This record gives sequence, C-alpha cells and structure tokens, in this order.
Amino acid sequence: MIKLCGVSHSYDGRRFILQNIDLEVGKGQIVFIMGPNGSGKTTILKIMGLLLKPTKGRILFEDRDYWSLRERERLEIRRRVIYVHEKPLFFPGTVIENMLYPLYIRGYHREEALELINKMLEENGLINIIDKRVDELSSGTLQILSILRAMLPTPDLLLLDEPLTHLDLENQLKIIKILKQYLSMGKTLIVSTHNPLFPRRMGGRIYELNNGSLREIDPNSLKTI
Amino acid sequence: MMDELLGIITRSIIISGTATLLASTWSIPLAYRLSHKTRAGYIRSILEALVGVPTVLIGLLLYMILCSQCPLGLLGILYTPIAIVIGEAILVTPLITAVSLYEISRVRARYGELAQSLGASDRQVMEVVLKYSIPGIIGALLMGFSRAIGELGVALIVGGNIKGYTRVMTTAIALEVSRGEYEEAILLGLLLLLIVAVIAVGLRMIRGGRD
Repeated sequence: MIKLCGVSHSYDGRRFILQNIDLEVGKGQIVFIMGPNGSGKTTILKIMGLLLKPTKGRILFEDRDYWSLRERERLEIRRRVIYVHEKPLFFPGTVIENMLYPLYIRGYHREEALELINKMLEENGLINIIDKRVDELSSGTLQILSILRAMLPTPDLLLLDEPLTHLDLENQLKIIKILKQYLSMGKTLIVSTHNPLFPRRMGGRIYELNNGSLREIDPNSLKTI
Repeated sequence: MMDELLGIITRSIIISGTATLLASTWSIPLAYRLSHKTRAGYIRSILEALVGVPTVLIGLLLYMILCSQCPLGLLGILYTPIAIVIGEAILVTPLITAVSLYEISRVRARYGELAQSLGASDRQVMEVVLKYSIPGIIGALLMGFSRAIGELGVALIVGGNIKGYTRVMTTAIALEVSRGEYEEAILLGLLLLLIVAVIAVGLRMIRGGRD
C-alpha cells in the first residue's frame, strides 16, 4: 500500500533525523515503530501520513509517486489516509462538531454523518458526551475520541502517533480492541509507540528507529528496548 | 472651532481607516502565503525591521514619486487625502503583515495541520486557518490603524496639512504647537490618546477572549 524509498529528512538542512529509509507496508498490515524520544518517530509517521514532504527519497502510494502527482490526485490519496497526533488536537467547540469535520470535508450529508457518529459513540459508551465541549473532557477521553474521529471516514491507512500515552490500562485495552476490529476490516495501521504491550497484543511487524536508521526487530527482544 | 475639530477627527479616522483596509487587501493574503513557508524566519525579521521605518522617510519617498515633475505627478494626487491614504497604507503594511503572519502561523500549526491530517484539501485548510485567525487578524488591523492615525511624517509631507481637506489630528497638533496654541494642541493630543487607548482596550479584549 505504502512504500518509502531512500527517504531522508532534515528540518534545518544540516542534521538528518531520518537517513535513507526503506520501508514497505502492505494492505491490511500493522507495523509498529519504536524508538527513543527524538528518534524521528513522529517525523516518519508524518511523512507516511503524507503531511510532510521528505528532503530526499520517494513515497509510493499504491505504486504511485505521491509527491510527483498533481494536487487533485494527491487529494484523492490524502482522503484515504489519516494521521492522529500524539497530543490529541481538536477544534474549539463540541464533540459532535469535531466528529463531523472529517465527514463534512468528504462531502457526507449531515444526516448520514450524524448517524455514523451516533453509532460509533454508542458502541464505545461515549454517547453521553456528544454535546460536551472538548475543553471539558479528560485527556484520556480526548485520546479515544481523536482515534474514533480518525476512524469515522474509514481511511485505508491510519497512522497513530503514541496512541496509548494518555490512557489507563482499561482504556489502553479498549483502544487495542477497537484497532483490532479496524484491522480485521482489511485496513492498514502504522503505529509509533513506547509501550511493548501494544505490539504484543496486536501482533504485526516491529521496527526500531535509532540514529536516523530503521531496522526490523524480533518481537521477543522488546524488553531490551 | 468645534466643527473644525470634529472635521479633523472624522477625517483622521476615515483616512487612517481607509489606509488600514487598503493595506489589509495585500497584507493578509501575503501573510497567509508566507505562513506556508517553512523558512519564513528571514522574511519575518525583514518585516519586523520595516515596522520601524521612519514615517518621514516614507513621506519623502512618496513625495519624490508624486510631485508634479515626478514619475506619477500626472495623477495629481499630491496634497490630497488619497496621497495620505497611500502613504499610510505603505507605512502599516509591514506591521499588519508581521502580526497577521504570527497569528496565522500559530493557527496553521495547530488547526491547519489538524484539518490536513484529517484529509482536508488546501482550500478547506485555508478556510479553517482563516476562520480561527480572525481575532488575531482584527488585532493586527487595530494595531495598523493605531499606527496610521498616530503618524505625522506622511500626512505632513504628502498631505500638506490643508485646512478642511488634508488636515488630520497629528498635523493639526504640529501646527498648533508651531503657533504657540498649546491648549488646542493638548486637547487634540488627548483626543488622539483616547482613540489609541480605546484601540488598546479592544486589542486586549480580543486577546483575552482568545486566551
């Protein structure tokens, strides 16, 4: 589905945070990216989330070189990819207003969108907060909502940056269950995490990002990271 | 006396307001455009340096373009309110652009990136960024107006301080002081201070509401 070919990235033109990275993630797969703070996990996720153009290298999305496409074609692809920030970001306003946004920009009718949102919040026991303002909610609830909001338009590729950070164990397990269901729909997940519980519960390939290089690691060696 | 005073105040507000609105027509799109750039630091520094350009210098440069034997002398707008509007619009452009750029960049980093990460098109990202930048942009316009209404150099050099036509608050103050009419100069000065203070309170309210 998505392939990085010789990707390097530098924010200041001097220090390369990613160096010559090759990675291929197929449809329906889950890939974890682990590594110490500042190792470039967010950067690689933003590059794969098509939000950041790498300094060098190519991003192939279904064998098409994303950054050499025309804006119209790029938008068609971008609509199939959603990146969820580590610190949950919301527009000022209520839960429903925020949940409507990804559907609104994709041209959903309001009734259809509201039905989808109600169903999703109902299933996840969050229907009671639908009219609450987002600034009244706990960081854990916001984290779950940001993931649910990303899943609403059912993107083919979902990228999650440290999705378990603000959650207690109960909510971590809840997110893992939600993501397993999403994966079973044939969707692709790329997740950055510090938490070894995550790949252990979900399976999938694990990569370690260190000093700008990416290497696949054995799941059994997770304790040593 | 009262009629003349009211005329000067109204003229000052209209000229500075028009100059601010005129400057906003290019400053805000420019700020939005610059907020795209990842390395806008140099441009930001240049803009901030230009904020402090002496008003008399802009007045002088504009005079050298608009005088009768000058390149745009045929337009015949020297010593008219239009010349002051153009001069003040040039004067406040760096200020409005710099403040708008700061505000738009701040909003873009948060809400623009959120919209983009959720799949918004460039146009939809722009809608989001501008929507949440409105309080900051209004603040930039108020700062621009405040700078325009308080400047003297442009109004004096290209306006000519013509009674009932191009005389504005600052040029009137300068004239009264030169005549030794300190009471009228102080009265006009206090009124100018009041206008600027009202704008400062407005700015504070906008910032308070945003924070």
